[in-house]
Amino acid sequence: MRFEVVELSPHANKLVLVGRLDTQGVGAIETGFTAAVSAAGRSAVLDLSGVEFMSSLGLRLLISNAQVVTRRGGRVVAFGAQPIVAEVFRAMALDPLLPLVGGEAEAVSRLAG
Amino acid sequence: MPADLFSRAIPLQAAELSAAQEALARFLEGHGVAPIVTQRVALVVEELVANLIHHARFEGPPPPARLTAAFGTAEIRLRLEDAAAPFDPRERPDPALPPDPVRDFQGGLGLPLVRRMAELRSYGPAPDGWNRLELAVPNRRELAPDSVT
Repeated sequence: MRFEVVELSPHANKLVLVGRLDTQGVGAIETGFTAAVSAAGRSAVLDLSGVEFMSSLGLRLLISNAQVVTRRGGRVVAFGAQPIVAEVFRAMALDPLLPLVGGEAEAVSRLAG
Repeated sequence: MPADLFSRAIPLQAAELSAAQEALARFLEGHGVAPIVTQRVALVVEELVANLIHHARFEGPPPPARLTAAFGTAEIRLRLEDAAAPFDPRERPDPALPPDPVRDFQGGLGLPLVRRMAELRSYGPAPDGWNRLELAVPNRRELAPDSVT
C-alpha cells in the first residue's frame, strides 16, 4: 500500500492511494497518511481508483482523518472507487462522513460547495 | 476440475492473512467465481481474522486459525475455527448507520461489514473444543437489497 500527495491549490491536496487498504496496508501508511491529511490543514480529495480492497480498518483511517479536517473547517471527498470499495461505502452509509463521488472534477467541486 | 474445498491454517499475523486471502482468491477464481464475490469473501475473512489478531484473548501464544471454504454454485460456505476465548459475533448488535465516528469506530465496523456480505449460520464449539463459526457468502454479483442502504 502506498500513497502520494498532489497539491491542487493553496487550500487543497489530492491524495492518490494505491494498493490494498487492509490490515497490512493500513499499518504501512497510517502514520504518513494521517500526517498528510490531518496535519496538513487543507481540504483533500482522495483518489481511490487504485485501491483494490478496503477493510473496516481502512475505512476507519479515512473517516478519522476526514473528521479532523471537517472539524477544522475543511472538507474531504473521495472519488473513483472500484466496485468492491464503493460497495463497502454504500453498505456502511458513509456519505455523511466521507462523500464518495464518481470523478475528480466532481470531488473538487464538492470541496467548494 | 479444481477441488471444491479449500483449507488453510492462518497464523495470526497480518502478512499471513494476506497470503491466505491470495490463496483463497485463486481457489475461487479457479471455480469461475465473479471477482466481486471473491472480494466479498476476502473481506469477510479479513474482518474475522483481523478481529482475532487485534481483539481476541488467548491462553498463551495464539495458534493459527483454521479456515475452510467450500465452493457452491449458490453460495461460498466458510468455516473459521480458533482457540480464543469464545465470542459469538451474532450477539453483537449492529450500530445505527451512518456509524458514529467516535463510538462505533472504537468498537470496529468489521462485524457489521461481515453481516452485510455474508449470512452468519452458526457459532459454537468444534469437536476439539475450539470455536467454530460457519457462514455463507451468496455466489451472485448483486448484494441482497437490505444489505446496502
